[in-house]
Amino acid sequence: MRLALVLCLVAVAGKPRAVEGDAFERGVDAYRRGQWEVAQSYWKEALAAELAPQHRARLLYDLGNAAWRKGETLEAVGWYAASLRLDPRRADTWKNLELARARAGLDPADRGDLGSTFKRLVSSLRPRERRGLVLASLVPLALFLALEALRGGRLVARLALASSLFVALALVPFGLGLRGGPEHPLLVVRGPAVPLSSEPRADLPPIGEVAAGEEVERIDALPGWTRVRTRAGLRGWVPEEAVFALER
Amino acid sequence: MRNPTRLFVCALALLAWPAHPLRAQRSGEPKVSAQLSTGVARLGERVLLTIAVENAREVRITRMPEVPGLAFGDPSGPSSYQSTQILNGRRYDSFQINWRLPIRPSQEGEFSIPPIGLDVDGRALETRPLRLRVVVDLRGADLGFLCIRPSSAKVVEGEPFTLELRFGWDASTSINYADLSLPWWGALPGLVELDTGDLPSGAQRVEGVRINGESGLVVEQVESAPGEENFQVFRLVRSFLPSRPGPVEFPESFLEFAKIRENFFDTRKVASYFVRAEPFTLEVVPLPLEGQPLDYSGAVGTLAVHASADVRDVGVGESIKFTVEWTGQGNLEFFQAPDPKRIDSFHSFRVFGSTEEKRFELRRVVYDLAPLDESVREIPALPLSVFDPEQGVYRTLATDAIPIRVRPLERSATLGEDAGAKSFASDIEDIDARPLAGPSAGEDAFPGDYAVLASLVSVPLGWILLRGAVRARRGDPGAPLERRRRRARLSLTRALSRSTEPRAVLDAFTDYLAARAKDPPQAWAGRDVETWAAARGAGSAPASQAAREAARDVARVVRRLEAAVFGGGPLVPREEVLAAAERWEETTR
Repeated sequence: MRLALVLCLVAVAGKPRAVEGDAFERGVDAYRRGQWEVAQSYWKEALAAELAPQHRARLLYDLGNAAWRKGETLEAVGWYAASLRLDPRRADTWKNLELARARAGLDPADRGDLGSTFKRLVSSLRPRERRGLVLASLVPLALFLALEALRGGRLVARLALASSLFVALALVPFGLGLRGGPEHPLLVVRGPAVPLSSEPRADLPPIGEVAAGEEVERIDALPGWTRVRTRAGLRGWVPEEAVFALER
Repeated sequence: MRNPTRLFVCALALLAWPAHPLRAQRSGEPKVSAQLSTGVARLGERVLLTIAVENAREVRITRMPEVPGLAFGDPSGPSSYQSTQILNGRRYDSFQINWRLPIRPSQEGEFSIPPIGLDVDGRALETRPLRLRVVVDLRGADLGFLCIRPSSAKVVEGEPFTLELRFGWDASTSINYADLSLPWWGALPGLVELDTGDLPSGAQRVEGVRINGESGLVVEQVESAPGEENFQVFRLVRSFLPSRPGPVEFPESFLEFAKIRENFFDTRKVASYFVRAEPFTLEVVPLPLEGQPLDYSGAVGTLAVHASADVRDVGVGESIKFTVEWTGQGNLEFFQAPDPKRIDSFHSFRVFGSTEEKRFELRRVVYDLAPLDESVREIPALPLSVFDPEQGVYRTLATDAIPIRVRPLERSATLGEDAGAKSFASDIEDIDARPLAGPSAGEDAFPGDYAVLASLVSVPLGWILLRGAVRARRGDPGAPLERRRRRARLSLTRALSRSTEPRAVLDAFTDYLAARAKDPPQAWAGRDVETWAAARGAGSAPASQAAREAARDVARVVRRLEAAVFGGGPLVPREEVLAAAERWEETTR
C-alpha cells in the first residue's frame, strides 16, 4: 500500500504540467489565417509561461516562422538561433535557420568543415544530457576505482584508467557548456552593420560597428538602447531594436 | 646551273595559301649540303664538288680539304639562287648559295673527302664527308646496267614524285659485291624524302648492297623486264616532295659490282665492273596562281576521299565522330586539313576538335561534331581544294554528305523560356502546432552543474580515502602474498581436483595453510596447527572457541593425511579437506 502511494506520487510528479494553452492555440489560428503579427503577439504571451525547454524551443521556432513570413529574415534567424540553444538537435530548426541565414546573406551556421562539424557535435547535447553523460561516465570509473582500492591488480587499474579517459571525453561538452558564451547573448538583427556609439546618443560619431548576424553580449540597457560587448572586446551602445536576445 | 650566277624570281601570289607546311622549308635553319658530280671517276678525269648552303646570307668557306691523290682547284662562285613568294599576303624568301670546286684525281683508289668548314651567318657548319672512287678504266658496261627514273620529269611544287633505281648484272657471273655510287643520295636541296624505304609485303628482299660505300641498304629483287633477260635485276624506290620551285640536278651515278674472294687472311676483289647512269635534271615548277582558291590549303596530287560517321542517330548536342580519309598520290602528310568551323555548311554543328593521323599513303582526320538543332538532317560535304598536277587545275574534292537523324533534347521544355517550366522555391518548414507543456517536476533541476562537479571531485576523493583505509588495515591488497592468500582456497580446490594421491593432497593442503598464513610452504611442514592457532589466539571468546575448533579440525586432517602418506592409512575424502579449509578460512579471515 505504501509502495503504491509512493509510485503514484512519483508518477504525478514526473508528468509535465499542462500550460494554459489559449495564447498558443490562438497564435496558431492567427498564423493559419496569415496574421503573422497577431500570431507573434500570442506566442510571445505564451512564452511568458513556464515551459519545458523543448516546448519552449518549439515556441521559439514558431516565432521564427512568423518572423520569416513577415519578411523579417534577420529576426527569424534570431528566433531560430534561440530555439537551437534549447533544443540543438531539432532538424527543422536547423533547416529554417540555414535558409534564413542564406536569405539574409549570412554565412551558413554549419559550414560543413571539420571545425563546424565538431562544434555542432559538441553543442548537440542539451545541458541536462551533458551533465548526465558526465555522471554516467563516472559510474564505471567509481566502480573500477573501488575495486582497485579493495583488491588492487593491474587489470583493474587499467580499466580505471580507461574509464577516466571516457570521463575526460564526456567532460568536453560539459566544460564547453559551463564556459558557454556571453551571459546575455544577443544577435545583431539589423543589417548590414550597426554602428556602435560610446554613449546612448544617436548624434555621436560611431566608434565601431557590428555586422548583422554577429553575436554580442549585453552588458547594460537603457530605454531604447542596449550596451553590448563584441567578440573583439569593443563596447558600445546600439539601438535596442538592432539586437535580439537569444535567451528567452 | 652552268652560269656562275642564276637568279630565279618566282611569281608573286596575292591569293591566300593558308599555312602551307612547306613554308617551314623556306625560312628554316641554314642547311648545308655537298655533292660530287660523280662517285666514280677515271684517273685524271675532272670531278666537280658542289657545295650548297640554303637559308643563309653570309657564307664563306673556312677550311678546304686536303686529300693525298686528289688535287683541289680554286672554288668558282659563289653563285646564288633566290626564290620569293607572297603567300596569304606575306612574303617568303629563300636563298641558296653554291660553290663549285674542281677535283682532279692523280692516283687510283678510293678516297674519302673530309668535311669542308663553312662560316654561315656567323655559325660554324661543315659538309658531310664524301667518297670518291678513282679507277684506271671503267669496264663492264655490257655486264650490267643502272637506270634511274623519276616518275615525272616535271613536277609541281608540293607534288610528290618517286625515283626508281633499277640495276642488275649478268646472271651468269658470280657477283657477290655491289656498291651504288650515288653522289646525290641524301644531298638534294629543296627535296623532302617522304617514305622510309620499307619494301612492300611479299617483296623479295636482298641485303648486302652498299650505297656510297655504306652497308645496310635493303633492295628488292624483281623479275627481269624485256631486254633484261640475262640479268639479275634489283629495284630501289624512294619518294620525294619538292619544297621549292626550280631545277633539281641528279649527277651521274655508278654501280660497281664485283666478285670478292675471301680467305682467312685477306679479302680482295677478283674482278670489278662499273656501269653508269646518265645525269638528269628534274624541273620543279611553282603552283599556278591562276584559279587558286582562297581556301587552298596546299594539297597537291591525285587524291580520293572517303567519309564516315560512327553514329547516325543522335540527340541534340551528342557527339558524332566524323572520320575523313584522303588517299592517293599526293602530299597527304603536308596539306592543312579543312576546318569545319570555317565552313558555313557546318554552322549547325559544334566542333569540339579533331585528331589527325598522317601517313605517306593516308591522311585521316576524325572530327568531333555535335548537332545543335534537331532540324539537322545530314553531315554536309567537307570540301578540300586540291591542285591536280595531271590536269594542271585546282579542283574541289568533297566528301559525300552523310544523312543523320537528330533527336530533340529530352525534357527540352526545361530549357525553353516559357514552355510550362516548373520551378520550385525553397521555403521553411511549417510551424509546430502541438500543444505546449510546462516542465516536469524536478526536470532540469537534477543533476545540476554543482552535482556533477561534486561527483567529479567525490569519486577520486572517495577512491583515495578507501584505498588508504584498506591499506592501513590489511596492507596492500595487490601485494603478491595477499593475492596468494586470496587465491589459496581456489588453488587447493584445483589441486584436489587434479589428483587424489595422498602425497599430493597433503602438499596442496600444506600450501593452502601457508598461503593463508602468508608463510612459505616449508614453514608448515610438521607445524602443530593447534599450538600455532593458540599462539595467534586474538579475538573474543566465541571467536577463539570457533578458531580452536577449526584448528583442531585442520590438525586432525593434517594428521590423517600424514598417516595416509607415511603410514599407509586410509585416504582422506576431498570434501572433508575442503570443509576443514572452509572452517579454517572463516576463523582466520
